[in-house]
Amino acid sequence: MADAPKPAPKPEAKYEPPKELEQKAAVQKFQGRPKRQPVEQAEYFYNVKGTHIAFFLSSVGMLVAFLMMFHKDDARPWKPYQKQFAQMDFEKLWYDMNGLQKDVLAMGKEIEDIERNIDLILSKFPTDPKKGVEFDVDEFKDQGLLPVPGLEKAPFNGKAHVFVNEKKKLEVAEKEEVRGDLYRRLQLMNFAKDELGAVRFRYEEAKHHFEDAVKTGSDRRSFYEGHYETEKKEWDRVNKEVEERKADADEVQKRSDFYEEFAAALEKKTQGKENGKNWKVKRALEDLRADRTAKLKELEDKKTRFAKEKPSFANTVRNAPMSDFFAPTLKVRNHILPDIKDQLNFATVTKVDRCDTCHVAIDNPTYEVRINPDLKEGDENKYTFKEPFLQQFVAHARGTVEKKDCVVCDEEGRKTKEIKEPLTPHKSWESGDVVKFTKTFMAHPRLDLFAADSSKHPIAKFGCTVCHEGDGRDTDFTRVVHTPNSEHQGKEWRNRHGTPYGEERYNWNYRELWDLPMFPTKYVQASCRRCHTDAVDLDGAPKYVQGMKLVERIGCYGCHRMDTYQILPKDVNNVAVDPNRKNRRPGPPLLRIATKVSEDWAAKWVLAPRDFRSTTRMPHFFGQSNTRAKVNQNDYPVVEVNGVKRSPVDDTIVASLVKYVWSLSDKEADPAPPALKGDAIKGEIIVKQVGCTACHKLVETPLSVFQDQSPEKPATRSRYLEDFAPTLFGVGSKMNKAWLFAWVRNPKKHFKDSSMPNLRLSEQEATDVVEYLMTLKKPEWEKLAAPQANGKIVDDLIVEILKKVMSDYDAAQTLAGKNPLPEYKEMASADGKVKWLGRKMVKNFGCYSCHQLKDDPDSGMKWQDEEGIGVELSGSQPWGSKHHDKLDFGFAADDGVNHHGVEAVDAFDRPVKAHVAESRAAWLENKLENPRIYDAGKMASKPWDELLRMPNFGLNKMEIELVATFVQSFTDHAVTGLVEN
Amino acid sequence: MTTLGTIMMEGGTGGPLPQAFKDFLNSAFNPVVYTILSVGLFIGMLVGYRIWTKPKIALSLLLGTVIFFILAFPDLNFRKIVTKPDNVPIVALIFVLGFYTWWALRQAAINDERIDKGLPPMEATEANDRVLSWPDLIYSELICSVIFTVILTVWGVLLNAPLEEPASPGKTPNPSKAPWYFLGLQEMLVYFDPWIAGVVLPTMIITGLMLVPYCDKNPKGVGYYTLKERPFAVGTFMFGFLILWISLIIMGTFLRGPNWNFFGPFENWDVHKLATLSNVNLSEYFWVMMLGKALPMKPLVREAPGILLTLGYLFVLPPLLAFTVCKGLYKHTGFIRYNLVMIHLLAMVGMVIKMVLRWTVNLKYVVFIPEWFFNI
Repeated sequence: MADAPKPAPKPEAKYEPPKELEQKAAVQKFQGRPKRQPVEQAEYFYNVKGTHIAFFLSSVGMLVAFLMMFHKDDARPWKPYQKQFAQMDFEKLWYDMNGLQKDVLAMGKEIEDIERNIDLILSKFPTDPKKGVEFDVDEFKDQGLLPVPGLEKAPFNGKAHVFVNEKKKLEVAEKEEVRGDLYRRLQLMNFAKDELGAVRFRYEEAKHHFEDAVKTGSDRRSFYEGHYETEKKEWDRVNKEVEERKADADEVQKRSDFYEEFAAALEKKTQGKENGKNWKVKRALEDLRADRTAKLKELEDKKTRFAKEKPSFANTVRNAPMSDFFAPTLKVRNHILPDIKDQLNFATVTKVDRCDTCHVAIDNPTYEVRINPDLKEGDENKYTFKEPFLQQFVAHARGTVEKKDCVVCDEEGRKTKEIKEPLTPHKSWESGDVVKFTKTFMAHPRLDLFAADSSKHPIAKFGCTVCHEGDGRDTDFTRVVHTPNSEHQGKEWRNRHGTPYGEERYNWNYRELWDLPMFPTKYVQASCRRCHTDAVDLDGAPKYVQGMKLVERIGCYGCHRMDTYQILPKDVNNVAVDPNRKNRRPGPPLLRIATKVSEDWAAKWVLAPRDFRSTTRMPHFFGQSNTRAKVNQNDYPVVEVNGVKRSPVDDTIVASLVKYVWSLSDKEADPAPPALKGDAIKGEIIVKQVGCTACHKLVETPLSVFQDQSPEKPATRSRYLEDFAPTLFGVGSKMNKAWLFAWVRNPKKHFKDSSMPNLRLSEQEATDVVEYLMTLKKPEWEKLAAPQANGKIVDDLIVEILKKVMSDYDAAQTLAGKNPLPEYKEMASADGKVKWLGRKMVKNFGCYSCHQLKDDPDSGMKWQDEEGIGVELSGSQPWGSKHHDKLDFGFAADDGVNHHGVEAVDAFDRPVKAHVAESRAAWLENKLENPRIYDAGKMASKPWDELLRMPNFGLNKMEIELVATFVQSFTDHAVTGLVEN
Repeated sequence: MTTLGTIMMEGGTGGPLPQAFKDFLNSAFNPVVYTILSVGLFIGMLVGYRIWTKPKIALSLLLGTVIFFILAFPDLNFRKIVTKPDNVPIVALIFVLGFYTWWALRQAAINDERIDKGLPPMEATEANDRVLSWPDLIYSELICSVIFTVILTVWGVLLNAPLEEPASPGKTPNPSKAPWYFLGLQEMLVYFDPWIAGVVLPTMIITGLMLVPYCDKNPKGVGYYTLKERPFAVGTFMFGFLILWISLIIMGTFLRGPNWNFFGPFENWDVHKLATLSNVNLSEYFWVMMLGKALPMKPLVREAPGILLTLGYLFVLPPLLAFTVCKGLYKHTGFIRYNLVMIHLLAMVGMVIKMVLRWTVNLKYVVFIPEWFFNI
């Protein structure tokens, strides 16, 4: 435009006086002002028209940006929930109102009917009661207002005589007579009952004496027999009399009731409408009227609410963007809990929970939900409302009922009503909304204990996150740190909304930096301990309680220090420790083990305890997924022994362990049992009679009963919780006879903390019992080859250990016995080497934390005082407060993007497979299932002392969940400010 | 091009770029490669400024960058870093800074060509041009302010403020990063003690910038873009700004992950990644490796080589240069100006030297006196 041709110079204009109206323009024309457009453009650097357009477009852009801003401010994630709930609740209100209306109408009609009947009855009575009248009772039968049925037959004659008494009132002649009769009969019945008591005593005595006499063959037998016969007859007679008298009284009772009612009706007749209060019909009528008044009031209340909540212009404005600051109906709900503080590291702030902004009905009993345990998470029918209307509402919103049959739509009913259409139209819920909304709107499953105002933990006082954890101040699904129960559920949450990929590819992602992620619902009971620290039984926390019992039975506290169970002498002798927290070590002491079992048996046992006894509490340390085939660069592949795959490395370690334990054991044999001949059959009788079987089973339960058959068929029994004492089956293949005799005679002699009582058996009895127990053998076990220490593997293991602390050369010299240091002097002999290795392995696998061992004179090791090998679960870094990035997931982590879990094969050619979601609970579950799983894929590079050592307890899914609940209960998130009770 | 689905199934991290290419980038990238590449690009940029700034070439360079971003964007790890609300300004910085650099060098290229032909620079021809403040200035300013309001509003709506969780002494964020404009300084902390990287060098940046008008005696290039007439001034400033400041910010933002480890652009920021950092002091090189002796006990004796080297670098090198390589500069600026320029220049170059020594010979400190908290 800048190049636009300039207009040709104007020719000289001839001056003409302008017309008045055109003066201004004419002056301009005369003065030579050119047409604006082209010249103006030449004056300006930018194209003015283009600038205008740019300004216009940018202004439109600003408008759009502002609209976006308003929308973002308005579209809060919690609003859809409140909107949906408001609609649901409103439809329920509408439905309830209609129901109430119907009820009120029906009740009014009923009242009318009753009143009409009353009038009818009263009209039959004489209006001028001068003399007695006889009525036929049948006349009243049809009205149903007097208790007539069944009274027609004798002794009732179907008549009632009405007369006028001194006070000029109508009265029934029979009334007093019958009342007297009833009184008499009731009295007779009671006398008979009294007598029954006395006779019963005499009868029982006589019976007992007679039976005793029969048994002992007493010479007074015939006397007792006669006595018994008499008393028996008496007993039968009185019994019969009681029955008769009762029937008698019942019959008269009916008559009496009739006359009482009849009299009450007459009273009403003579004393006017306001009286006759004794007449049941009249009382019922009054109750009915009261009910109706109450319903009317409820209806009025609901109508008021209805008027407030119905869709209206005012309500729309209240919730509209920009005007919703004033008094919106949809708003964030706050529970400010001044009694409870949140510790935010540098500040202590009052707890504020906003959870019921979405979980609107959490304390509302109307919205109670029935949970179907057989269905999977995510199934539409897993959660259903108990309230029938709400069920129908869900069906309506889901579109699974025909519109014409729909209670919510109720087309006929709506015709005359204010709300013509339901607010939530048919089929307006998308797939998944049923589960989503039902779960969100459900009341707390234990309203008797939690959330409700009448419960012990009302929401107004306790809030939600005090137990559930998470960020109570936030109102976004992800940001409040909802945590899925399972990886499957996590996937579902991610899939429901949103874009296809990225960390935030789904609507939900784990907000990893929050200190206190919400407990998955299956573990929420772990937080009970926070306040109920000392409780051993809690209603509403069965998992926590069971978990505690299980942990105690399994003996987790042996290796993992927990402040609730203390076993180390330094703790137990500490006066400050609560005596209830002192515990014995989980396993039996091994102070005299050499006198109890054979070395071979012990080696076989340590290698695979469950193979000998399916219900043992001793875990499997060996034959695990991280068993090594390579020691000190030499290969020792798994070999097959008697058809079972065994690792020679495991065998060597086991043999050395056992050898070392034997070297510490007291070897002085128990005194030989007295030379008595035992009788196994008598022994069996004694075992069953004395009560051994209350604790000890004699038959072995197969292990498979306690194992999960498949993910769909988890086990429902726990061998740890079921069995209190070892099964005795196989004991004959295990014990030394002399030891067993000494044990049976007095268990406390060998093990003062044993729970087994002294049964005070005589020497003969004990001999019989031992004889019997020794017959309980496991022949196939006896055939198994015991693990033996392989000298070459021993050397390699020792070198590997030494290489960690010294040069290769020194290691070789030390192994050859040339190291003068006292701790290596055992290397001089082959046996010494095995013992040296055994000591290292006892320390490595922590045998001493469950079993008491004697102090080691050779190395000065005081096993009693050694800390367990596991991580402490309580204390300053409690497990329940541990963040998931403090846990080693190894290669088992699976986030679907950078980590894909591990699938490997172990030394025994068994598949090792794990896909662990990056969450604390998932880590724990997998750890409990296979404690060595996080070594998978690292076997080639991990040094021996970094290999995981936690033994395998063979827990099933149920047990894992219980243990995990208890482990997560150790936390430093104290609830301050709330004092229990 | 494989579809996204197949790549996901094959275990890749998504997007049309072949996983092999991404793996190569990840493994090939490290601070050395990154710095060599950026210095190379920088030198190429200055040398070839008359060629690459031609609109068509520059536009294709821009297009290439944009296409790379688009292709790389679907990759989960790449996207995670690039779209982090904290990092979005740095993505913008790459493009904005690229544009202004191109603009300056393009103008310089045109002017230098004119100067070669004996013509005055473009700016001289415009000196007498006048425009009206309304509408040309104020109207366009108004439009710009509206457009900026739009951009800021939309940005504010689309990206949430990068707030994190309540601070906890027991759990610090990993990586702990400085604000984006300090990431260059934070990168220097890898090579220097805080007193140098955080105090001395930043102070010298400021004093250096303050000295520019007093030390720069070159009358040319005033009021117009040129590279030919002031290669030293422009080159030094751009090296300090683009390489030692901006490229370190970009590296700190996109390529430094947990534990301040270096990560490739498509690499997962694995907290457990381990990198070897076995560094050796100069004194150990000198006494132990060269002379085969143990380290002397006295710190001054022990560190004598490093101290001498540092002093020589700062105080002997400038006079040496003044009589040899930088004769012209010395003559042109005079004694005081020369020394001021040299001290600042050597400090700047010294940083690069230290970085190179760290990468090549694992040099930890030139002077290492922990007894006195004095390490260089």
